[in-house]
This record gives sequence, structure tokens and C-alpha cells, in this order.
Amino acid sequence: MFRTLAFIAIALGACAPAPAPSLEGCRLNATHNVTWSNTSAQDVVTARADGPTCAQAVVNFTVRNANGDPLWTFASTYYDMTIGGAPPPNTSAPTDAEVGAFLNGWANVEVTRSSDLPSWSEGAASLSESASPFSYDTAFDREAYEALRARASPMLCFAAAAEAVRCLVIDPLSNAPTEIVAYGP
Amino acid sequence: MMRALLFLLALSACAPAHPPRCDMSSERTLAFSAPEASDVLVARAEGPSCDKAIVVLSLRSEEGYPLWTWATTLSHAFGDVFAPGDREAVQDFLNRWIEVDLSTTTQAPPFAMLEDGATTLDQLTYDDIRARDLPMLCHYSGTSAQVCVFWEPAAGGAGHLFDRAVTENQE
Repeated sequence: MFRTLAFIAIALGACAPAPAPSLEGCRLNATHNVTWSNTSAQDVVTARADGPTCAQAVVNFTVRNANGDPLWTFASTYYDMTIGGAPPPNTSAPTDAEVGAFLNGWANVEVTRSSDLPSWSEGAASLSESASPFSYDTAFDREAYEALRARASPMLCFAAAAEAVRCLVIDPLSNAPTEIVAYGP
Repeated sequence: MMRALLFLLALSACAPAHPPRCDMSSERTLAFSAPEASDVLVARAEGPSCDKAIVVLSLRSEEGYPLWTWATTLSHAFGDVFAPGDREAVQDFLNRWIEVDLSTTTQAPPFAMLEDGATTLDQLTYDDIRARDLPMLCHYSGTSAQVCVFWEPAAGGAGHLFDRAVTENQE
């Protein structure tokens, strides 16, 4: 799990080829193919920035299957994702290249297995109580969480804030994506 | 020659028509960050067709700074009712989606009345925000659910306050 967070942190900060400067405002995107919801057809992750300037960008993370059906989407702001809130005064606005590098890192998600998640010990009131080093949150009760973990399903984790990660699996009952866990410091 | 042209025309007429993309938006101004503010709320749909659209709600200050943003997949959250080419229905949805509820945090339910998991705040923080009578905006996050956010003037941003179940005629 630590490797996942470290990977995402590194990926978000990684240098990436600078995208072409946007002609109007800050409209940039990056895509990455992953094998997650279907082993025989890759899903497409798109990370997009949109704003009058890059300092004012709303950023959007979307996963679609090979047919173009949306599986998951999430929106935040560039600064919430990179520094966790509004920037200090006199911060220079991010360049297209900086936002492009962030988008490339954001879209470049890692697919692991739900069995990589920490176990929820019997008798622990919450997942966080029995797992470390992060604070974990799940909407599932222990029985459902452990059942999903035992399936070792492909799990897609993405950054949902400067220091937070959310992980998705395909719910075996509904065959739709569901958030199995969110974690952070 | 003419016969060949007619054959080609006939073939093209038989080709399956691709539904148009579902990229569209709706916007309005409202006062959320201050009583006299002209904040801009934009609801945007994006997808290869309207049954595959995602929708994003973004509130920006008059100067363009994002104050709140939220996204979901249209069919999962609001029902599998949008036909691939029905741009009119999605536009109608967007027009209705931006009709958000504006009130203040004193209208939020007491902490004890919240459903499990409705807020990520602890009771002390929640009660404090409620007592301060801050601007509150609630928007639909599903056919019978709303997300309510509050304006924190000290931070110059909006934050999630709570989720609630609603029916449309309660809007």
C-alpha cells in the first residue's frame, strides 16, 4: 500500500513532455490505457484541466471502458490536488508544462489487487484501527470489505487530493465500479 | 457510371449513423461567496454520446477562481434515461441542475440528525460551521440525493458539509 502512495506521489511529480500551449485559457488533457474492468479490453483514463488560466484550472479524472462507457469520474482543482488548497500569496501561476506534467502523472494510474489492501482485524471497530501507516476509510462493513479483499480483484487507485488516494474495484454483485477504500496520512 | 454512383449513395445511406457527441453546458450567476458576489455556476456534460456522458458542476468566482467542483457519471447518478443522441434531454438536465438551493448553514440539520457517513466533519467542527450562519449551497448528486457545501470566508473556499436524501419536489 505504501508503494501505491509512493508511486502516485512520484508519478504526479514526474517530468513529462510539455504539451502544446493552449490557445485559449488552460485546456489540457492526458490519457493512459489500463487493464482494469475487463482483462480483454483496456480502459482509458483521461485527466483534464480546464480554466481561464492554469492557476484557475478545474481538473477532472475520468475512466471509461473500451466502449466509451464512463466507469468513474472525479473533479477537483489544480491547487487542491497539488498543494492541498489555495496557494500562498505571490505564488507564480503554473505553466502549461507544469499542469501537463501533473495531468500525465495523474492519469498514469497503477492497477493492483484488492488483496494488497490491509486486513481489517476481527474485533477492530474500523479499518483504520487495525491498519497502518495511513488513515483508511471504507463504506463497507468488515465482512464485505474482507470479502472484496479476498477476491483479489483488479484495483485502480487514483489521487483524490494532495495527500489522499481512493481505490476502486468492480463490485461483483452490480458489475459496476465501487470505491473500496480511501486513505491518506 | 450513374448506377455505380447510386449504389454508393445507397450504401452510405445504410451506414449506421453515429450519435453526436454530448459536449454541452449551462450556466448561471449567483451570490454564494458574498452577498453581492457574481459567482458563476457551470454545469457541463462531456461524452462520446449522451448515454455515456459525465457531468461536472463548477462554481467559479467572478474572476474565474474555482470555488467548488463536483463530477459524476450521468447515467449512474441520474438514471439510465438518456438516449445516445438525446442532446435536448441532457441540456434540459443541465439547465435544471444549476438551479441549486442557496441558504445558510443554520438550515443544516443538527449533527445528531445526520445519516451515518453524511459528513466527514467531526461534531465540533460541524456544529461550529452551523452556528456561524455561513452561505450554504446544495446541489443534486443523484436522483434523490444532494451534496451541501458551505463557504468558508477565512479560507476563501467552499467545503463539503453534508449529504442528504431528498425528493425533487423538496427542492
